[in-house]
Amino acid sequence: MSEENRPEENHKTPGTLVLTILLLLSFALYYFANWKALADVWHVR
Amino acid sequence: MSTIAIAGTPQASEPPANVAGNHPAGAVRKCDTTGLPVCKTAERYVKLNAVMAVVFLLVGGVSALLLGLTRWPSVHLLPVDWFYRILTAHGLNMLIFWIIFMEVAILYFVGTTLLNSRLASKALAFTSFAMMLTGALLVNAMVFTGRADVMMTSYVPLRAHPGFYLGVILFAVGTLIGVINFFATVYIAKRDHTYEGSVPLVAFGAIAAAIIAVVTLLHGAIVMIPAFLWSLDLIGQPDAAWYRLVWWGLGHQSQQINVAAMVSVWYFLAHITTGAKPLNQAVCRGAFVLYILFINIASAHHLLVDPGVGATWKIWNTSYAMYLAVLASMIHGFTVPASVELAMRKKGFDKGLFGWLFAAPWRNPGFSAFFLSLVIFGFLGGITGVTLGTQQINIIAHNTLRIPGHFHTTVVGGTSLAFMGLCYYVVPLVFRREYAWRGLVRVQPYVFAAGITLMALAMSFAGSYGVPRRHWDIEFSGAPFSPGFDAAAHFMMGLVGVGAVVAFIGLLVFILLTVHAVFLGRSNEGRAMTAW
Repeated sequence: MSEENRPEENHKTPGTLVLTILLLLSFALYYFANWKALADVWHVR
Repeated sequence: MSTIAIAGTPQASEPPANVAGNHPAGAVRKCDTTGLPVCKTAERYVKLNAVMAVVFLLVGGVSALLLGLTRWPSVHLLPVDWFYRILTAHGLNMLIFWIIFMEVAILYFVGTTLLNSRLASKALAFTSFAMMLTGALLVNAMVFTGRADVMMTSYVPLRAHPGFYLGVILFAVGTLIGVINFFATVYIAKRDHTYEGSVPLVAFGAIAAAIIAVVTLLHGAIVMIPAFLWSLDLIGQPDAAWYRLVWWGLGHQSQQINVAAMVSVWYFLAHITTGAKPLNQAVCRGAFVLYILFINIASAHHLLVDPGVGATWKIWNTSYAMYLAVLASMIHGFTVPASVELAMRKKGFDKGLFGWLFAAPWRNPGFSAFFLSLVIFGFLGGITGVTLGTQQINIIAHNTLRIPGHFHTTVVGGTSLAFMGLCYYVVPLVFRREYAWRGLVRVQPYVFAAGITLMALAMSFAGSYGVPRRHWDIEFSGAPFSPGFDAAAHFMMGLVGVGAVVAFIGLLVFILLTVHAVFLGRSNEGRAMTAW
């Protein structure tokens, strides 16, 4: 395998990790808000 | 010729690559900037397809402006018949013609330049282009003359003029021929050993897009041929539920060709703007395979309130299988910025968490377009898409403006913006013409991204207030009842109009700059392109 094709070793990408966590938190918040909105209009007795 | 191999793939037993490629004498030139080979036949068809892509982008863009100004309640520009006519034209020109002409150009570029091969067939390339162009013109003629007011989905029992269905079929078959030509090119490149090891990742992504395209176009044929025969009164009306089910195999998957192509463009632009390399080839390729396997199933989310299919089918397809396609996007959404971060840190921009990001080449329109595309697609499109694709939540969102709010962040803020960034390299490298007014070029991705983000968010909020999609008049003028939309919904609809105007300005600037560069731009033949 040529040097340029070798998988990157010892990845250190903390910035991207933070962005990813931010994405997942945003998703969790939006998802919960939507279930809450659904619960507000669809009452289960 | 640079090559990319899957990690762990044995290479030693393979014959050495034919570095000269398989080009006939005089049929290839060397790119003055990258040193990559450029097949002259492919170059001609890359140009033709790219030019037609931009032409249809203009048609779709003007349509978008008219729609935005109609849904803006205080403007309400178009009369009702023209609203639906223009909405039909907008969907077809933007989602189908602009994107797929561009994708065929990408396939020819990838198949020949990145694989160091000649284009398999000039005749197929001509046939494909002629059929696609004829089909697109026929569809537009039918729509703009009022003979196909059926929206992009063309659900039966809505019936258009036979020319409409014929145009769609011609375009689809033309595209299929282009895709076959691409596969034939990949085959002869492999046969003639024009590259080393496995195909590069960008080419792998293009192959994934092409495989999805074949499945998509077969769905198109299955659904459009009966509709065409029905429009000629040769057969009875196709079953409406069957039509909706199969149509989304065309309608949704055609957008997934876009996603696969867009992700390939992300990898390409990340590499040429920052020197980024994929962190792990096997993982990235595996993610493309997930697209191929599960994207088709994801089309079920369009039918989540359809009474014709059962709840078990809906929930299995959208709450289980679809997430594997989402997983693929999440993998790419992580590996692309991570590869940029790694490349920037290696260059010495490693201060703090985001020093690499602040130091990124934001003045380079190729980079800004790609990174903004990634953020808009991931944060706005991804989060809303997964949420709306949940059956229970879809019940409160279906057929509201939240749906177009979602897909304008994926297809427009994501795919179109990435393709614009690609053009800022395609024109100097393939057309060998320089962009003028480079300051304006640098600003363009930001203007377009801001406009489309504002418009899409406003659509989403308006949809949350119950504002319907595809609706000419939310005031329901003359109706015996008042829908009573909140004042905030009206404000959001105003923002939809403002966002549409800003996005259109960004779009128009892109088109004018690109057309000027292609026809009047300073030639860079014999030297490298001027760096961004």
